[in-house]
Amino acid sequence: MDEDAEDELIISADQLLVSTTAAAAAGSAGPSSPAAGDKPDFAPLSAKDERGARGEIRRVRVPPHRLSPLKRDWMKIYTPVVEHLKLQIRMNPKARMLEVRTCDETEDMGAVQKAADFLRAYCLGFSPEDALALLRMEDLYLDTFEIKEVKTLTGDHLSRAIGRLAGKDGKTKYTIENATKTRIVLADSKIHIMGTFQNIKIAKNAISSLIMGSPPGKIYAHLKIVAARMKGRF
Amino acid sequence: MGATRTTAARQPGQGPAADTGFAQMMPDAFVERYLEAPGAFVAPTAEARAAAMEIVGRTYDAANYAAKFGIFDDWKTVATSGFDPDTQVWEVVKLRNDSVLKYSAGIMKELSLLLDSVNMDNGSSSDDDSGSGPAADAETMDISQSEADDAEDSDDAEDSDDAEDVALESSGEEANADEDDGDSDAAAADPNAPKPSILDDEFFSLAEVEAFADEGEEEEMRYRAILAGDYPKAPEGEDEGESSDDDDDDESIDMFQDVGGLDDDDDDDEDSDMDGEGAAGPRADEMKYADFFSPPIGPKRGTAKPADDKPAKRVKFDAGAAGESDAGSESDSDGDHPVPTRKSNLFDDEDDDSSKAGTDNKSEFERRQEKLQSMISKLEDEAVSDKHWTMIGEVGSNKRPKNSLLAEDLDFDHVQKPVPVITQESTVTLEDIIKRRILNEEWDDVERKKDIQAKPFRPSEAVELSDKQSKKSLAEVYEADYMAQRAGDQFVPEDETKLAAAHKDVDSQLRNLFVQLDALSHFHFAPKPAVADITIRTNAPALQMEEKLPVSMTHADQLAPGEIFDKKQRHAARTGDIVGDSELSREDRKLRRQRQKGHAKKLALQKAAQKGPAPKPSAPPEPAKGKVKATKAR
Repeated sequence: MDEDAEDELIISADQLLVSTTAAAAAGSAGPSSPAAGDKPDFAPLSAKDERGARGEIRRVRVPPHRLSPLKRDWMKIYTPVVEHLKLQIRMNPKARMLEVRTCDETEDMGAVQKAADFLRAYCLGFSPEDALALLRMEDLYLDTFEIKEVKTLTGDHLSRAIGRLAGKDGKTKYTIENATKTRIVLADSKIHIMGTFQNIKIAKNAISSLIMGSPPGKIYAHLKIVAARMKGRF
Repeated sequence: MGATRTTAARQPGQGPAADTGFAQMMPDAFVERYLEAPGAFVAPTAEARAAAMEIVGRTYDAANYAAKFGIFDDWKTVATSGFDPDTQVWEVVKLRNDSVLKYSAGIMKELSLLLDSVNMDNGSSSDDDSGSGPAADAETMDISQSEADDAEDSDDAEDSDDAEDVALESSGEEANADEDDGDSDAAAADPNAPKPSILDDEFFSLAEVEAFADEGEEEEMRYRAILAGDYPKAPEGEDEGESSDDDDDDESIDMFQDVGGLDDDDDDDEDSDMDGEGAAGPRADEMKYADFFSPPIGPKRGTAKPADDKPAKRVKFDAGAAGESDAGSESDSDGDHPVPTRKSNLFDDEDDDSSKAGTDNKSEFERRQEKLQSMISKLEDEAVSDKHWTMIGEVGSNKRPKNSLLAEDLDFDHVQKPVPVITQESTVTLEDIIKRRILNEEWDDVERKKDIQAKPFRPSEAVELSDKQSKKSLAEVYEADYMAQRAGDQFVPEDETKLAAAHKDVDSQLRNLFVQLDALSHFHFAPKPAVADITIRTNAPALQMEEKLPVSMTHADQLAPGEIFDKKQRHAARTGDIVGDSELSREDRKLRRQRQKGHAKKLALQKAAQKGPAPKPSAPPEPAKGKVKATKAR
């Protein structure tokens, strides 16, 4: 019995597709089990149908240090959300919340989530142009971790570690960013990395080794190799 | 002349002895007049010629009667009557003279060697001993030669006669000695008087061997002395055997002499001059031991056989004097047999004089001891004295005589390889190798060595990391990546266009620079490399004149903008809209027609105005023609 219940829950490819095999056909009792030999043909849903009666709303809290940059970059944030994603956005200054919600013109249901991610990235510290990549590419992710996750450092060691990560005038950070095509935000002891999955991994490794204490030169050498590999110059 | 010569001047029966004055008076006179005054022969005179001929004739006659020449032909007279003097008599004489000449030539050879010595030894006794006989010998030759010459050419004969007379005069005395030598038979080699020694046995006699060795040495010394110009004196109290030895020495041995024909008449010279070994005339294959050696003595050989009277050989220099004295003393002392004195004991290394003096007295032991002592002293001297420079050790150039290394064969290690000697063969082989290599194209080109370790595989080093904040946002970065992936090489990111342009600019500038540098540095012209370039060519005429007038003019161009569009007016023509005829409203059509009419009226008025001033009838053209004519005439 339990197995049957589980089978019902699990929508396997066998159920969706027409299958002449007796075993699959006999066991399955799914809700949308098609008739043998007929392929169901669904027209794409319209946005309205997709979202249903109620629209979706997302709220993103803006940290205090990002409030004035937000005011400065409002148009850069507002424009892509409203014009390209066709959402509605507003800032609630009292609650210091950015709100995004769907409207009639919204075409894509995933737009709200994307907008939320975009806003969240901005609030973490990324520039609006960098955060815009989240809207345009789907493969980009945000990764956040703390220094103490890598190594427990206190006081001066921590400061030194942060200094090592940044490098002089941000040299090291930019090197990592350029080599791995990511964007890094150092927020005291939190580190945010935005990029594709593989690149995030590489950047994270580099940052971790820096935190652990390896000299930047070593990191550069490793990054060179990585960059060469990524460029295709093996 | 020759024909009368033989019978004239002398009675055939007379011998040379009859003319006692010949040897002294005639030649002396001749000498005084013609030889000691050499100017006499410069110009040939009849007197000189006659005197020369006289002498020649006498000597010839003398020679005719020599006993020796009896063997040739026994001619006393030559019948010349009825013979043609030039040829026939001459032929007869020639028959005789040929054989004489041959013999005489040999004698002359000997005489030529002794010319000088005879001059020096004028007072020697040997000269006095000479009789007329030997003179005849030499003179015979001269006469025969002169006879030969006479028939041919009288003038030349005179000169040759004179020359021969000179030789004759100088060698006259010596010729006597030679003649004597030649006449006498050489005595056979005497076996040595036996000197008993340990080595003697039946066949071997030490004394004989030593005597033989002494003989050889003396001959050698004599020969050398003669060559040096120091001619030995005639030995005292010796017979012709000694002189014959001189002859033997002086005369070169005829290597090709036929040994088998020793008794031939043709070789009388050698026959008579030899030591008498072949005097008896045995043939070579008939010669026996007994001819040369005395029979072996055997165990009884203690007493000496009476040997032939062989005179003791004496060497004619100072040492010889001692030898002579010894010989003389010994010969005096030993009455039984003349003991030949020996200068040298063959097995003695030391001075012969000292050892010889006491040889007889010492015993065997003493002699051996003496030898040993002498050897010991010699060795001691060697040991004490300085070593030869080659035995010293390290020798500098000051320790050894000059250029002594050249004489030495040195052995040392050669540090370098010896230089290969280039011979014809080696060159040929080398060229063959070269040709073969060229045909097969087997070159020995030097190939560049590639160091494998030199360049490690580091592609990452080609990548440059930027440590500046990137100007592109992340979105643009990924966009560029995406576009590059899509378009491939054609995609050039925006910010790189400027860079690409800059690159292109730099590239072109550099290329230009390099072309100029090449032109400056290379001797040969290298044209500019072609660059693919798109040029737009307009097929326009080469000459283009600026035209102020428009080529075409349309109604629309002529209208001013105010005429096209007027805000105040509303009708279709003035609002700027382009309306067709069917689109016009009624009023618009009316307006248009009015306008057209008004236009036409205006135009007509203007035309009328142009033609307005009444056109006067034109002047008749006749007077103009006349004017024209007048002008043309000029």
